[in-house]
Amino acid sequence: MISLTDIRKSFGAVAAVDGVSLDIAPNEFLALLGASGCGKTTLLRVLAGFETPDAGRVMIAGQDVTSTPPHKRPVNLMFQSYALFPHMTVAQNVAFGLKQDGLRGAELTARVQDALALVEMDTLALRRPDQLSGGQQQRVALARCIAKQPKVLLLDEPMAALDRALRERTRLELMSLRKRLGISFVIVTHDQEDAMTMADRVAVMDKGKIVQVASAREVYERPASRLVASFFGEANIWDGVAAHGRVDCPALGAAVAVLSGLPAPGVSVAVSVRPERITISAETLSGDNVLQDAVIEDVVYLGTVTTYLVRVPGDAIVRVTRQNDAHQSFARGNVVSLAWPADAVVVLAA
Amino acid sequence: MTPLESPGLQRAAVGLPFLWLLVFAFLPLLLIVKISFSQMQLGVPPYTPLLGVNADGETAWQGGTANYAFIASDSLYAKAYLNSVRIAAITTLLALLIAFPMAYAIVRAPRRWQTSLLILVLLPFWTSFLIRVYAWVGLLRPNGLINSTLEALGVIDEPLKLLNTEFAVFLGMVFCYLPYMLLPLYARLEKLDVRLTEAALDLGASPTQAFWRITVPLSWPGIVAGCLLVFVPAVGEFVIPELLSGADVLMIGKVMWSEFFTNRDWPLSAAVATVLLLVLAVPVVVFQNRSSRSAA
Repeated sequence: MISLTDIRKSFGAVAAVDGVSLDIAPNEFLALLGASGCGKTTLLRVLAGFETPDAGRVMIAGQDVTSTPPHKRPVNLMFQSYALFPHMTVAQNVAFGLKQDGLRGAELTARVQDALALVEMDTLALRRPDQLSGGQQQRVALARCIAKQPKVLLLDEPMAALDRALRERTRLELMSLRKRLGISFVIVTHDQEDAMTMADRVAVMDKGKIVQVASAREVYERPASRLVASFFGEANIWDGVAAHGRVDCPALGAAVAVLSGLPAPGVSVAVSVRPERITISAETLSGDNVLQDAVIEDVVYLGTVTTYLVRVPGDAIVRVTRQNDAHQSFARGNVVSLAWPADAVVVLAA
Repeated sequence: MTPLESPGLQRAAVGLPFLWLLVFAFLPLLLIVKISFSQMQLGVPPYTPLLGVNADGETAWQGGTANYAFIASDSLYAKAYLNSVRIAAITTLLALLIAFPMAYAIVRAPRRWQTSLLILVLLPFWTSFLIRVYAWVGLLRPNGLINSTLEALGVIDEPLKLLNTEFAVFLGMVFCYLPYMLLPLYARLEKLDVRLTEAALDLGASPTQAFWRITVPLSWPGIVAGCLLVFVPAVGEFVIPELLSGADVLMIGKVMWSEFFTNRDWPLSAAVATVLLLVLAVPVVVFQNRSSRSAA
């Protein structure tokens, strides 16, 4: 549906987008994820037509739209600030785009009604934007975009202004909308939960480049770089030196057994282990990787899980999360053993 | 509690300007209305009292609407009013057409330039109003800078008549009133979110359609404020037409001036001023009421 080839865009001396190539399939839900300033919003604006790339090509639905102005592109962008027209009612806002398509009379009314019904805002059609809550404004902005029946819906940080409960509800609604509409979604977010719950694929961006594109699961379990591992979820990352079948990590005071991905012995690398893959126990554990005589420094209770910050003999702090159950919990100062299987270890470039 | 929140100071902050307006604007205005019902007389003051002693030695009402009747009977006044309104309206329109793109460009200019650009707009205000208008006399007169330059370049053989034309009046009025149009427009456009225009483009509006359907309606209060700030003083403007148009362009400000100073007919002049106030105030109040209601 969308094909981006080597897109570059600089503002002054800063390369906001620095050679991005990306294909987005019809009906795909893609999340552009990254810290602020990584170029994800600029890339979205290139797609919408608000920025003309310095180099590269943008294809949408088989047509080269690189230099097509925004009002002639088959995409619609939902702005982070929603950008509702304050001098128009909800219904007039939604009708605005449809009128540009030449719709009038009963057909126009019906399409506005349908779009508003889809986001359950049909009862507030005559309100003005300033009479709506943040969540309601977001729905109107969404209705205004989907009323146009675009081939691709672009969403710029759609959840940024919503509280947590509303955020979760909106995520589910976006997913069901996507099923019903059968169009592609590209969402820009800095929230990994958005990406994990909704996206078919996640494109992680850093300094204007895409550093990894894969399913959320793969990005989480097989991060391509140190940055991805630390940005997408939490990770224990230790520097070390590659050896045969293991990585020697001075901070752990131990070697870490590794299944795959090792470079030649002697090369500096880093290893990453997700906190929930580490087993914590008062008894002596056995397995691929075991650390004895670790001391719990801090306990963070989070409801479903508890995070333990554990100091190991090599003096590193290891982050461990454990599902809360009735049986066992640990307290500060407890001496414990930690263990994790070799397949939980990801080798990263140093 | 900050000093401004104390009730006494708050009352003073609101009350003092009102008191000022009452004493120095509203009371003189009432005085003018009062004089307009008197008759001219030779003496001090140069008008008859409203309550006077008549031939029978009784105190009686001596005022009357003779001045208003005279204004209505002599077509000179109607012509002067109409011409003033026409010139002010054209001035307002020209100022709007020039100021809107200027304000838009200043808002869209890089942040660090905006202050400098605004200062440039206000720079002429640092010179006396009279000198600015006189400068145009120097530029426009038959042997002035414009004519002599054009002659030197061989574009024209004999001087163009620039001074003492309506053109000169429009030039001077637009030049002097432009900042009053530009500043309210700038204040309004500056608050306008660029993303609203972008959203309109995204929804399929061409840049022209986005301008008319988003930018113009949302800057409407600024347009109204700017037009009133230019139109109202322009109707009664005296100095600019006096200096740039001589006797050729009839405006109500000049009529008022000559009634007052040349004919020393204070009552008639006061009546002319009162009618002008009604001609201006009534439509403006109605218009403002309507636009504030539609904004609510």
